[in-house]
Amino acid sequence: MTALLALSAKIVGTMFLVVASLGVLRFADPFQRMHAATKAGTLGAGLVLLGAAIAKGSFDATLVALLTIVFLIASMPVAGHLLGRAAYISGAPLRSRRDALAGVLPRMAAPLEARLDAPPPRPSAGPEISAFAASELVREAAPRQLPAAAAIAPASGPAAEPVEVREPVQEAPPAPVFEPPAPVFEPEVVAATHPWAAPGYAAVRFPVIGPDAAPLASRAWRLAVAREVPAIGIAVLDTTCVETARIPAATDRMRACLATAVADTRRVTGTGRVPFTLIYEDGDPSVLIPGPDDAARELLLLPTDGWCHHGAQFTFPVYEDRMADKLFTLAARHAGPTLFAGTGTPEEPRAVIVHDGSERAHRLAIWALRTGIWALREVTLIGRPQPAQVADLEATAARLGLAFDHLTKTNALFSALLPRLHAGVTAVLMAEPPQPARINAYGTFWQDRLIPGFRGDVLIA
Amino acid sequence: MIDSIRQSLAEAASVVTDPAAIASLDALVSTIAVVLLVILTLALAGAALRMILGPGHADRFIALDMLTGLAVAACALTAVTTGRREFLDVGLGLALIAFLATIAFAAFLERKERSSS
Repeated sequence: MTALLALSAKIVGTMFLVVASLGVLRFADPFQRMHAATKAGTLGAGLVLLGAAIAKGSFDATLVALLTIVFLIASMPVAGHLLGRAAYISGAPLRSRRDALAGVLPRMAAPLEARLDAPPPRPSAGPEISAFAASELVREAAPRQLPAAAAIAPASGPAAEPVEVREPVQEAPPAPVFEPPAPVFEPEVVAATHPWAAPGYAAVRFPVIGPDAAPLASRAWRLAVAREVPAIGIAVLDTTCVETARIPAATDRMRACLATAVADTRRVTGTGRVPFTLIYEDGDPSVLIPGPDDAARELLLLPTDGWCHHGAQFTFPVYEDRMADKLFTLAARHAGPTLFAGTGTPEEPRAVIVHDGSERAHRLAIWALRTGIWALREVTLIGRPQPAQVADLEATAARLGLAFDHLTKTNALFSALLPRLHAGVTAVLMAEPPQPARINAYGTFWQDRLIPGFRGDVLIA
Repeated sequence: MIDSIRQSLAEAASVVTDPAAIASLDALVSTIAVVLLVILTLALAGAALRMILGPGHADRFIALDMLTGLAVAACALTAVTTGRREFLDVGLGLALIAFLATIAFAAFLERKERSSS
């Protein structure tokens, strides 16, 4: 009887292994093949081992066979999952109708074998040794902080090649659309001793972050010109990115990308009207970029995505994706409001104030409305502020000539703040960054988690 | 028809109980294990073909992962045909090492971005 049992286990197991092998041979893409190999393979090998254990019958043989089965069951799914994940990230061809993991995991554009065959990318194309030596020299010579004109030199020195090759596409910076003059009345509102109780700001801080530095820089410039305050651009080479990079010429490539970003910034910021400081540093951006303290009254301007690797694609892809999450760290460390500059064009002159009843949220809302960062005609308040705060906000809005609306029921789907109906608003004001503080949580861009389709400004206290 | 089925059932029962028949069944089991080994070789050839054909690195690594299961099963069958239980130990060692190999290849696949030159 046991012999028959052993025999049938072995036959069925072998059958499963043959089927698995057939699947590996015949399926269309690596993921389907892996599905065959992992599931049927584990079952087949396990059954054959079980058959052998029964056939042998002795205690030690059974023990070893059972140990092997347990280990196979424990390890094969893990190995299969790792392989599948690695295959996805490495860009293995996918034959299914849609990519269900898009936005959840980073994915290379081309499969590994295509990338291995391709010639090395341009920034590191030059002779490696000379580029390295040059960068070392520049690193020694680079001053810590530079006035505007001199600042480009160290960054572009070793990477002169790509910068020269690059054609200056758009010559003229976009003209300032509007920056309304500051309202002049003196109100009687909240704790007047607080640095941010008065409207306006003393400086605009913004990081120079590639590969798309120009929009942020021109926005910062317009904000600075509107109130005639200095603009401070901070170009940081993130040393963490350099250290985690896995190619030797990482520093050079990142410098090249940063040089391009600095050149873009210089092109759109213009000259003369307000002081413009460009700081160039190597180090930790989350220490270097945020402003020093409240007394300095600096407005921090951040992009909605991107980080200080400046779009140089060479770090571990997963980490590179998550690095942009540190933008929220910058916002949290900055003393004073942080404005995430939206990439879209606003469709309606309306701001949404998310009010949790805290003094911080209230101060931010009053400050932003009185400073006049946006040309608004309408204000929508959501959340549950105290009645006095609602009255105060309403009075402020009335004095500024803004229509005021308090939405107590938002009808938003899932965890969004507001439904898609409101996607065209100019700005959203919040006391705290949205939770979880991630640029891309579970495949949804963080602005979509506020209002689906929203690409305007987000102001955070 | 029913009679013939009843008769074959009785034969099967006598096979299970009769010591001489059990001895012949043991020989049969050994023979069948050899046949299963041959069939397993076909499966092995299939996985090997996928490993040779590719087309991508991911396909080759997956085929290698498949070979692990096949090799462990082959070890178990060899232990039955030869009657040496050491082959089961070989299977255990193979499973342990192949898991590490798969993890290493997965790490390579995930982190390798371009040729290092």
